[in-house]
Amino acid sequence: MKKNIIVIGIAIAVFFQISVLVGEYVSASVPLWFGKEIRLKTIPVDPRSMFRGNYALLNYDISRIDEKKFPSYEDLRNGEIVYIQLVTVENGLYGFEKVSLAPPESGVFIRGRIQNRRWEEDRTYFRIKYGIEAYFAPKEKALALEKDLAEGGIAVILVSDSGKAALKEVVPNLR
Amino acid sequence: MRLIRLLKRDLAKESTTWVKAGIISKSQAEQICDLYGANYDQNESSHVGYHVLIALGIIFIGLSLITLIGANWDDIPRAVRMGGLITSTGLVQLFGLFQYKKGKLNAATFTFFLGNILYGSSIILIAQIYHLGEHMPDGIFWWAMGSLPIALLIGSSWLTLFSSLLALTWFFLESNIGFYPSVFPLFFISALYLLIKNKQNVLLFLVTIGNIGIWLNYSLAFLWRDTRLLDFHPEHVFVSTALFIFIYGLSHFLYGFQNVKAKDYGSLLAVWSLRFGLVFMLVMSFEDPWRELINADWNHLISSSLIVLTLIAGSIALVIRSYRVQPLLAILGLFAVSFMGVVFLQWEYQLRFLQILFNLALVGMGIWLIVRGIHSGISHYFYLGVSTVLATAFLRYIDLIGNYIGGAVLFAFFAMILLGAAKYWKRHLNSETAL
Repeated sequence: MKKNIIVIGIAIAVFFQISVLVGEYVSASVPLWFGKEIRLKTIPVDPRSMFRGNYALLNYDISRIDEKKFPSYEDLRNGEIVYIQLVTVENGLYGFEKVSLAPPESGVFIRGRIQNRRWEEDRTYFRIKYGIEAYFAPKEKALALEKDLAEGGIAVILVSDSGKAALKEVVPNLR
Repeated sequence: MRLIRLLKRDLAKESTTWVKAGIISKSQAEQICDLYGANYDQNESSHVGYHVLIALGIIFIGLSLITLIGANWDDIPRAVRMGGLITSTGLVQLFGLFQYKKGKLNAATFTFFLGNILYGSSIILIAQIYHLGEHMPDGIFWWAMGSLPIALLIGSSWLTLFSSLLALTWFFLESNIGFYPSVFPLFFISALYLLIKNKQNVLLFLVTIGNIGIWLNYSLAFLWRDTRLLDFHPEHVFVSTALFIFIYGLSHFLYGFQNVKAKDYGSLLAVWSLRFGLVFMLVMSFEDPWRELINADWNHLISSSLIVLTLIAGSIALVIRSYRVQPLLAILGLFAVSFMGVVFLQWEYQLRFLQILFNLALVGMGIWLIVRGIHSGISHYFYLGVSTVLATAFLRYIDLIGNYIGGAVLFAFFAMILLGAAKYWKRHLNSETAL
């Protein structure tokens, strides 16, 4: 192969790498730019990240769903994409309505992935991750947030039409 | 098969000593080294050390950057973080491109390696900024996929190895949760292309052969699956065994070429298929694996038999050219008896029969390796043979077949083999001295 062609090829390959990074950024930003705002009840738990600094880990009611609520729960694998249809439950907060393996045709829904299956209190639950479980803050702020939200808080989430969610902020219950 | 060809640096070093001692001339030493594809001047070996140190240094630069960014994460605005990650990746890769254009291939390869590490770190960090961590395998896939084109374009076996290992990690992460990574062949086909085109790279060769074997097994799991998960079936044991027999055949086929690289790869395959074969036989020298195979449901017998027959026919076709059919026939005989025994003759006493058969086969292999090692002067075969007999003896000591009398008879048999081998070796040495 001629050297010039290889050089052009490498330039395209580098452009491809940059496109992957930009694509990842754009895809993650779509909910923040165009998403619909919803509020979910949350309880933070502390940990910290080696790469990212500090963050509070957020837990939601929809993070754990009874397997009986899934259409064909026996066949579900870890990593499977699921869609949770949400409905307003109280004071403008959203809550679980139903779960499906395909995007619902209407209504507000959020896309998640099954993490694992757990047996708790004589029932089997699926743990689901939506990409809104970590809220970053400096160490002191993260610890303060954990204290402020000890009784629970409200996560402000932006959800795109495809169900992809992004975490905007976490506020105390009273606000 | 001469294993000395895998010890090129030792050969080059020894030949230098012979030249210094006046035993052979420098040109003769160079000719000997050329025959085995070794570098008489040993420039290559010093380069290997230099390259390994540089590569390790680059990994530490990557770790240092990640730690630095991680420690100051909260103080850096989101846009700066994003811009910094993307720009640093782009700049490092473009610097690599600049070096490549200047004709500095080694420097360019290292820069691209650093660029690929930054690229992967950026994928991880961007995913973390935006909380995209719900499915990690996707990130590893894009890392492997982004690294591959540069590796292929500059023809770097090491960068291809890096990409292949990332792809393998992605493959395991996906397949272990029941997803079938259909793009995976792209990585091992690319690696095969470079292995044919470039000078030899032992690690890339072994990883590529391993990747093909793993892909084949998971593809069968995908075809045979009863649920949405990729489970393994008893048929996998027989297909994998046939695959190793095929690899053994391939090793002889490759060794038959005049080309140094093909001969080296043939030797490598022979050594590794032999080692894996012995480990497999040691596992099958116990009773439980046979019991599990006999009691298993063989639901995919026809398709697996077709694959096995194809692989065996292939191995025979590959070996026939090298005129070393007898060892292959012995392996095929053992394979056929075991397969028929497990699948068609499911009798209770057969468990013990198959177990004894494999123990005897292990001892037989041990004898063959000892004799082969003595005859050909290959110490690796000799010690492998002795280790095989000793490992079999040890396993049977902790897991007797039958009662203590059976165990005692077996140990006496092993003693006879080892003493016989010693006597044979002595006679062989005497006859050589007489000549």
